[in-house]
Amino acid sequence: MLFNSLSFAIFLPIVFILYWFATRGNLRLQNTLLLVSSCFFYACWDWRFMFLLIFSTVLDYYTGIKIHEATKQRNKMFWFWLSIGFNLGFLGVFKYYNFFAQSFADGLLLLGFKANLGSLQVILPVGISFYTFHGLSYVIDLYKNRIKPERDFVNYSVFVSFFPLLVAGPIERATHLLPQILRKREFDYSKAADGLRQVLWGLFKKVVIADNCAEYANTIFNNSPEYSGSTLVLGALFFTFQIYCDFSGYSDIALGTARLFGIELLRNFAFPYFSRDIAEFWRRWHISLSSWFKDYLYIPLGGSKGGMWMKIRNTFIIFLASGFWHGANWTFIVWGILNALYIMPSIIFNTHRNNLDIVAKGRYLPTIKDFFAIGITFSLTVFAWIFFRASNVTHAFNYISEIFSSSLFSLPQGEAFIGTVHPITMVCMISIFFIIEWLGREQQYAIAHLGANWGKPARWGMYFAIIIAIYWFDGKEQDFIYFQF
Amino acid sequence: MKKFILQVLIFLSIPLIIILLLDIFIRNKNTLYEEKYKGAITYKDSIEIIILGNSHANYGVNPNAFNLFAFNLATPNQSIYFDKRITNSLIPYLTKTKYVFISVDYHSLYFQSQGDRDIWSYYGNHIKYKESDYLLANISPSLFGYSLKVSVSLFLKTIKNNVKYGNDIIDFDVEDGVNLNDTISKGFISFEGSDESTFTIDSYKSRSNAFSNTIRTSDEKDEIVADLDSFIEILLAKNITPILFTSPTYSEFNKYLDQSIINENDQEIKNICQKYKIQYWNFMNSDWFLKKDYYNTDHLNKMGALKFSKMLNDSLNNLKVNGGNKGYL
Repeated sequence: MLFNSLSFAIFLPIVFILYWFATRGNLRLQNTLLLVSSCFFYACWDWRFMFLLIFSTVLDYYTGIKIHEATKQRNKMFWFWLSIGFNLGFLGVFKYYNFFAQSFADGLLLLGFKANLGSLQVILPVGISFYTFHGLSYVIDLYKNRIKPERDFVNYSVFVSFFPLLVAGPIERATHLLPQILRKREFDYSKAADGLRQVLWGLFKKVVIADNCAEYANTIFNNSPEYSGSTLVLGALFFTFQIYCDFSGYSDIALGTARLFGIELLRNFAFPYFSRDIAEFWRRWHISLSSWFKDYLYIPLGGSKGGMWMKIRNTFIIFLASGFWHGANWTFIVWGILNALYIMPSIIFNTHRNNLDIVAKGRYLPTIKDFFAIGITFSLTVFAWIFFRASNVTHAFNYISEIFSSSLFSLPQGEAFIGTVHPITMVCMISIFFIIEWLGREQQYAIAHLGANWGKPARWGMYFAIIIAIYWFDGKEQDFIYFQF
Repeated sequence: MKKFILQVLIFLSIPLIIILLLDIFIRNKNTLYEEKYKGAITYKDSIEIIILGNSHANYGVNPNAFNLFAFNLATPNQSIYFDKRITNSLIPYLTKTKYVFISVDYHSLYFQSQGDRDIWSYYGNHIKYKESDYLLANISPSLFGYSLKVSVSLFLKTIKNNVKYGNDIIDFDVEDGVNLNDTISKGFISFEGSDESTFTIDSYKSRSNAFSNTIRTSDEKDEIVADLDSFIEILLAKNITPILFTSPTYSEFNKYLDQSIINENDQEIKNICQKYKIQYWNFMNSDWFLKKDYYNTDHLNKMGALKFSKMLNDSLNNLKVNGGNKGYL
């Protein structure tokens, strides 16, 4: 059930009305309803993978209690590693088996041995990377005595499978979400209205910007040998907007939907394309994953405490892990390494925490220095996305080598830009979107306060304009990119 | 809570009223599909030749050029899947039909669904695509059938045309290039003149790429060939002679088409023709057609259509008199 589908448009109001009316504020009933709805939501994708989700939930719930109850460190460790082993095992089998088998066979072939390890014809269960990381954070936090186990299975299951975040995050923490699940929730008009507004903005990003950019980006990346350098640059730019609007659009819908139920999810994006350096970009892009890796990998590895080399090594490890988390393909690993290389100068010269504030805060325009810094960071990001989008590393290198050829200075080829929306219209839409994002960069999401001081007719007019744009410029429906992870 | 729901309902009522009005307009709007279907029923006792196919045949074959009573049932983007089912639904009423012209163009063997037009066509001739139920499209045609964009465009275009030309114009939507003062005759409507902007290398490339991409990303060919095969069997069983044909397309544009796909198509059609001993008339690269005969890269205009239709008629007369060449030409 896609967020931008009619079935979700029917599903959400039904659950919303039952949640606030039928449960009459009874927390137990509310959580049970959320769990049933989440199971239904997930089963709509593929009911067979429900068993995997249920197993993973039961495992973490049970081992969590056992870890807490264990009096001996040995027992504690046993339950801890049992949970970690199963969680990573599932992820390994479903997501990485084919990659490892193929890479191993390729490696042997280089040494002159031919190995046929076979491949598993498995479909990647949707959301496995996300709910596995939920479970892992819960178990690790328990093991580290940061939290107490949740003994109510319904409450714990809602934490793992709450439908807005189930298939593509944000990756929640028990310390943040569980207390909200346990707390009595009252309806709040302004929060609900804010939630709807964020859902609307997320839909605009996904349907208008991401799906239309995808049409151009897909044509160009899928037929890249036929196109000039200038066309390929535009292809990379369209993909840059596609992936941002696709994923942040999804996150906006997830956050907005959760807010309708009185639950605040972790923020996942904070206008990353206005970052002035790569370190800032990574504090603003897929925040829930970056902070997950920081808390559960970077810091346990020693973080920045062990001197420069330790810092460099750990930074490389988390970027490699981040790349690998995205998928079983060398392209993601190269993308991760590239980002590690980007960030390295700021780690070495200790400038990675220079830009902690919001760019041009309180002003309409950035300084010239900020403007160039944003431009450079954005260009580096676009370059890295080529690896992320390419079908394999060779494809990415061929793509890049064509960009740096003389054809870069030729006019882009018109035939690459055949989509639902005319490319000029698309550029206008992206420009308007960019301006709105810039003006709203101090808020949680771009239109959070847009129109707050306007009269109702004007504000509603703006919402209608967004709705019309969603219907008018809707591109060919594309799956959310992060569903594959 | 109640205030919130009330506000949401008030907010939604405005677009809902607009959609309701659009639905009323759309449900009452005549379409090319309806016009053709109704026309076929009107002339059911006269039709001797049916012309099927996509826009190439829709704009390219003028039934008035035939000695026998012909009727054009082709519509833009119509696939063989729909050719077959539309014909099957009409055949019980068409007592005189002797020939069915089936258009097989560069991309005909590679697509079954007509995309959005599946629903548009369904409104006119009631043929569903595969397992689709069109439940939502029946509830709100403007939202789930035509889409809001198309519905509003249709609405605005109708108003604009009525203001500009009055009511004495064709009352269904046609593509740019068709004279609105023209009348549909035996299911045929044509393009006037030529759209010079389409006769450019960029245009040839983008159009041919669009076709080639459809072909390269398709895995439906076997299914479509089997469908065509069974369609021919059905026609032959009813003593109706199927004739496969390919419409002319502009020679400069043809240079950008993939020769391997053309060869593959030829082989496929040859196999079918040999199997059933039926005719295939390929005019794709015919030297008889000059730039002035085309409206754009791959569609004939009124003049070109008349020329082409006369040639089809001559070939048919030749077939009737001499028996023609049996099998693939």
